[in-house]
Amino acid sequence: MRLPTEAEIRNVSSVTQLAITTGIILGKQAIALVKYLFKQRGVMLTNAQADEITKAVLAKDEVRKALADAEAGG
Amino acid sequence: MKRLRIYAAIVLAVLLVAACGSLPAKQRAVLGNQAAGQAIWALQDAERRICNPAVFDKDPTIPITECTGPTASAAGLTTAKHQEFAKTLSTAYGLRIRLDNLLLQWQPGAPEPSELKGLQDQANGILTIARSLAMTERQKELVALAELLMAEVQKIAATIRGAR
Repeated sequence: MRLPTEAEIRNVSSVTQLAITTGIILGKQAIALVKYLFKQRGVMLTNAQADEITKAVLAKDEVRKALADAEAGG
Repeated sequence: MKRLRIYAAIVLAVLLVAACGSLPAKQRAVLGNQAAGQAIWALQDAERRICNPAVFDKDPTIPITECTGPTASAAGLTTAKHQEFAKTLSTAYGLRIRLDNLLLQWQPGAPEPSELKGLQDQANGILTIARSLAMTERQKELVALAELLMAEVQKIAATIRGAR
């Protein structure tokens, strides 16, 4: 295995290739770290999905508030 | 070779920053709000279970109006204190409901909702009550949940402020 040249590094066209290139230079741990970080980003929500989450939270908050009101007395 | 290592280290650092901050602000605020909701719901259940485990275990949806039993006594959780806790939670939920509705319309760059400050104050009030109870394992559980709620509310505030 030969080390990539600087020109090759500048011409990487994908994250995977970049991660691999970085890993070749810094070690296998770097590849694992980059892949882990991108996995941790999670799936991007659409605006509609984000709103569905908030609507479900809102419904539960309303039920919980009613319960707290009943228990607050006075 | 040294220059290549420095370059690769810089690339790795950029990837690290990009990975951490890449979630859109609204998504982070929504997920943070969901996490704060889970914390406050768990906190409410934990306090109610200490207050009256018999009623809670029978049906957790039934309002608990009286604290009885050895666990309540051991924690120093009286009926009056439970009512005070419930009143603070009710105020917090009122603010959360307004924040939930605002999040449905909020876009990064919009002014920070004033409800956030009120919610932080209420979360602090809940934490104060939890800490005032007798030092038992149950009280520690309440304090841990209240601290989690505080942390999640502060994360929402930081996300929304950071997106302006």
